[in-house]
Amino acid sequence: MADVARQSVALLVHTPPYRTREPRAELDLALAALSLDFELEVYFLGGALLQLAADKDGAEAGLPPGYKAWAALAELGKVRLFGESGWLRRCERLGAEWLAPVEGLGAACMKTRWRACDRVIVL
Amino acid sequence: MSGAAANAGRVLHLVLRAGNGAFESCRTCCTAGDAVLFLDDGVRQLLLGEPGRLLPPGVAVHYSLPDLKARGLAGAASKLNARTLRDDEFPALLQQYDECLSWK
Repeated sequence: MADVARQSVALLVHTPPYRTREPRAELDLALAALSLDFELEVYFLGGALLQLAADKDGAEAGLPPGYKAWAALAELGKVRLFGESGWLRRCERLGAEWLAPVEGLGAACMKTRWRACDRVIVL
Repeated sequence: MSGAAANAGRVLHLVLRAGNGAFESCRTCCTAGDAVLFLDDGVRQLLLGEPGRLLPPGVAVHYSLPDLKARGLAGAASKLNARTLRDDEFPALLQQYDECLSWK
């Protein structure tokens, strides 16, 4: 089989946790991209960053689990997680901890990184 | 918005969404003696600024604790000394108000 150069894909995630009835939708796409050997960059925009909050527990609200597996992506392939630096600072000032390492980026840097990816998927 | 007597006072406002204008619409109808309960996705309003500052004096602000926990915001609420409400406390809160409006 021909050796295909590894391609990169950026996922732009807008949805805060539990905004939809399909809490795993973005995560499933990320898992699929990694299983197809894409290099993955996931951008959590605005309040979507809370998908990575470590101390989420939806049981009391009767909500299904669904976000913890973001932490497992790194075991499947090359992945980097990004949030908007303003949101990251705001959350961390209030004591937020993350399921996995997340890097803060300003708007200009984020746009530059998106352009450098082979594919961009807006979710 | 549901309901028409938004300026009657003694209203419990339920804010169910954050960042889409629900809170902004709600606060234009709040008067002293009312209360605002952020629940469901509305609890994310905690990260969008302190709602209490934007409301008229005499309006109580509550956040649903289970919904905060579901979004990893219980620690933040505690740090901000936000008043939280368990599900089993909701009926008692509801009984204190003449009317209830939902904003989403």
